[in-house]
Amino acid sequence: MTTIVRTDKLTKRYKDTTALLDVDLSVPAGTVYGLVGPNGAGKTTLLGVLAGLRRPTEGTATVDATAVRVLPDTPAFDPWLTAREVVDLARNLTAPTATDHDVVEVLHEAGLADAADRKVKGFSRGMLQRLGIAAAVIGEPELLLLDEPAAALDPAGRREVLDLVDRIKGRATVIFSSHILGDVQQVSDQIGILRQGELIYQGSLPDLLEGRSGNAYIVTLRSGHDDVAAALEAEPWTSSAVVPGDGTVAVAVTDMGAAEEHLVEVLARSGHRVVSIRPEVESLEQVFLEVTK
Amino acid sequence: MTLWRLELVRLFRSLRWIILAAVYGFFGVIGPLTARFLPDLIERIEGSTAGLPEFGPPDGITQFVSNAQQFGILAVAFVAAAALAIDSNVELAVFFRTRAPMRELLTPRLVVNAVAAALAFVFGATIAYVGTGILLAWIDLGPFVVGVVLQCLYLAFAVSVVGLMASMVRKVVTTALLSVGTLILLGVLTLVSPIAPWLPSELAGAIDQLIRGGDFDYWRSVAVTLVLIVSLSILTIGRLERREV
Repeated sequence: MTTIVRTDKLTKRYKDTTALLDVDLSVPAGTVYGLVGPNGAGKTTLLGVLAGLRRPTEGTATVDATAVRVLPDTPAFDPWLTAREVVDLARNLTAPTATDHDVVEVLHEAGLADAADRKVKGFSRGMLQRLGIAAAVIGEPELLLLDEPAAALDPAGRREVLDLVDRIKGRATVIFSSHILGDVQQVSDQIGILRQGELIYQGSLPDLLEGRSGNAYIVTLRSGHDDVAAALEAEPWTSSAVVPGDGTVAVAVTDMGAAEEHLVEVLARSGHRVVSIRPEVESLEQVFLEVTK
Repeated sequence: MTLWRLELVRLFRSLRWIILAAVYGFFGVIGPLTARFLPDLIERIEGSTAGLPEFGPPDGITQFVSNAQQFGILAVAFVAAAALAIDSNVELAVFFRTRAPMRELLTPRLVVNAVAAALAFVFGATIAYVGTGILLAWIDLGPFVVGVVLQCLYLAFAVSVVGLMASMVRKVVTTALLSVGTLILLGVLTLVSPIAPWLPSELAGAIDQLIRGGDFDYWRSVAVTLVLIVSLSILTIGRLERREV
């Protein structure tokens, strides 16, 4: 897979503050890349450098695309323009070969067909966000940089924006920054975690979660939770077995091979009714909290 | 929607053209009225006009120019700053800066605002000229037109100063106030400096001199003003290109 964005030891300093430090970002073409990190981690600065709006202090940023569009977290447009005029202006500036029909189409796709001739002044934040995406996708850009596109929206607005991002998938490479991990988990193929300006993880989402699926099992039982926990804790391949009180027993394992071999046997020996056995899989949120600690 | 049309739309839909037209139009009306009726008014109030210089036809224009010079420049500075302070709204700046080079973005803003200021001045000057003709006497059109053209050139210079200030600060109000301050400073320099004939501010008072039969001695300031308009515009574009958002 070709790389469309690459940074090499990218560092950005503002006087005494280091916003980015030695960031080696690599974004494969055609993917939705989720850039996550707490507030102040450097996400907006990184997107600003990639967009050419800020200059690196050290290192390099290489963007192998000519049609790059940026959507800030709270897009703004001249309030006396209509939605159609905003998209038409964007078309004129970036894709003069696109037609009036294309303008109508992207407005329709963004759910703004009915508001096309309304002045932007009265638009809600969700509508502005969707208009920003419509103005960004006109002319089929190669790279879209979306900075917290759903952060300030209500659940319905977020859903609409995430659906739009999902529809762009495959048509352009998207770098999508967010601190809402559920959003990232929903639309991203690749993920980068920024902490205090440093890129501390980069790779696919399954890889990130798989490596941290934890040496633990969750066993759901009808009865005998305490007996089963005691029996499991006595095994040499466990480190603990606790009863959280939700009908399960959480078993921490020291040797996964032994656990796979003997767990079912121990449960069968206990004589209690087993509903399910599943490995404990950490959510992105758990992983994020762990790695950004 | 092109960037040129955007500037026209900005001027008309934001009603900023009304500010310009109203300021210059108002003083275009007031100038001749003041020249015609002020002596009568003072005589009625004070019983005498002793010590008051006699008002002639050129004073209708002089009254217009002196008032329009102060309030007009203020209006021009604020209207131009609202368009030229391109980074005053970061999100809007991102929209434009990531879609077109600064030269393409700024040229229509500079030109449209300079032309709008000039047209507003022409509008006010025409009212003042006709008013003066009706209320006092008709003055020679030739020197008047030359004076108007020089004033329009000065207004274009004023807009280029606003552009430069917009590349130094970000907020609209700060840009406008700094621009007005700079233009006032240049005006003061004209009064005291031996280089006055070379300064753009010399053009601002030209109309008054020309309609009173003064010689045309403005080639130097015209040349300097033209050079400054182009250089300041290039400097502004370069500075804004380098500025981070």
